[in-house]
Amino acid sequence: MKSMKATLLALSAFLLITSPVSADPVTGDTAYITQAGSNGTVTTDKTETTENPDTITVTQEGSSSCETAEIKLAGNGNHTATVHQSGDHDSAKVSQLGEGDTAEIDQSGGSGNSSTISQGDLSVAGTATITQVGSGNTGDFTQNGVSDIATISQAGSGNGAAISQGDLSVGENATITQVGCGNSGEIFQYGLGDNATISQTAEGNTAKITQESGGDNNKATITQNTGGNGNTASIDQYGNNQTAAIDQRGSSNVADVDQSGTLQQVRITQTGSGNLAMINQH
Amino acid sequence: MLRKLHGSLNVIQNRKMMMNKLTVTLASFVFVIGTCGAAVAQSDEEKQMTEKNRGSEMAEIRYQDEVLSNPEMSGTARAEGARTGGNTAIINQNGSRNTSSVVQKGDDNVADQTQTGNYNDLRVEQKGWHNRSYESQTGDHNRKVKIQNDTETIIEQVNP
Repeated sequence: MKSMKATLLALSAFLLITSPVSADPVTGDTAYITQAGSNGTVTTDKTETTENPDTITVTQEGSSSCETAEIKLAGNGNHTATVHQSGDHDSAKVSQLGEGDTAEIDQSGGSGNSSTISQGDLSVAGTATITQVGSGNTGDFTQNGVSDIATISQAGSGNGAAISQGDLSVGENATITQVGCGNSGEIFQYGLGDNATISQTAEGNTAKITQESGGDNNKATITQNTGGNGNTASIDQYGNNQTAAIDQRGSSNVADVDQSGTLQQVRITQTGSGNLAMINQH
Repeated sequence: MLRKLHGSLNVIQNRKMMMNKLTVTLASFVFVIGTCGAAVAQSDEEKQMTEKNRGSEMAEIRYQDEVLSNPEMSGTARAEGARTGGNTAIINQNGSRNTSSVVQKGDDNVADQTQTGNYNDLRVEQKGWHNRSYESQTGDHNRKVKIQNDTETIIEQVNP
């Protein structure tokens, strides 16, 4: 009975596909894939190395739910991958390995969605953006490159955002913006001259930035300054000449900065009552 | 006659064995002497090395005593050690019942804490040399704890 139900769901999804899926787009070509319905799945896997820019756009629209989109692009060449999903419990995944790549995932109007973007070791000046509107969504980035830009914007409650810019990162930029209650944002950077910013609006939010000992001259900023209560901001920095700043407004907020190294600078500003600010430099 | 011959042969054999034993003993003695001599000769070299090491140890101790422990020495000299420092911590709080805490280890650090409001707690702990701390509390029933180089100062500020 269960397997029959699954088969029916898969069949209905297949019938609702408005245009065929091009699973292996031609080098340097453009592919647009559109689905309307539920439980649809789109997977593109382009592994051959090419200098030509590819563009792949996946749109799963309507009142769809439980849809899955996955785009894989390898090689150098300013590739562009875009996923639009509107619905609940959708999943989008983009993997890129090259220079000047652009990845964008837009999940608007749903809840329980998940987005993952991965830009690999060779990524230079890559741009990745996740936009989510709704509750209980998760956005996740991994970038190991130079001068990459990662941005996550979430509106709703109970959302989670995480950006990891790893071993080889130099001059990376990571930004998380969250509007709503009970959200969590986390940025991890391991490199030189990186920049991390988390901005949260409303109450009960958690923000954490870690800039590991891989490099110096990093900058971390957390802003929770719209009068919300019960927010927590935490910054850990290891290295030299790092800068940290936390700005909080409201009550019962906690700001915590731990810095290890020399020539570090930190500024915490709190407006409200019952707040706690701690700085540990060693 | 044969008995006499056998007896003298035994005597010769016994003497031979004694000679062998003596030779082994002498050889052992010579070996021991040689080893001791070599040991004595090595210890001269080692002695020189030890003196050298002791010299660098002494220099290290002198460095620790005279440089690291002396607040009057220049920051550059002290910066050669493994100590951290040169950090700046700034906290500004406006409101009541807030807590501000700065802990700094190392040298040449700066802590600047400002609290405006009532019933606030301020704490600064600095361990190292040439650290500076600026504290400003404006309001009533505020409290301050200051520790610098293990010297604790607690200041109760009550402006009823």
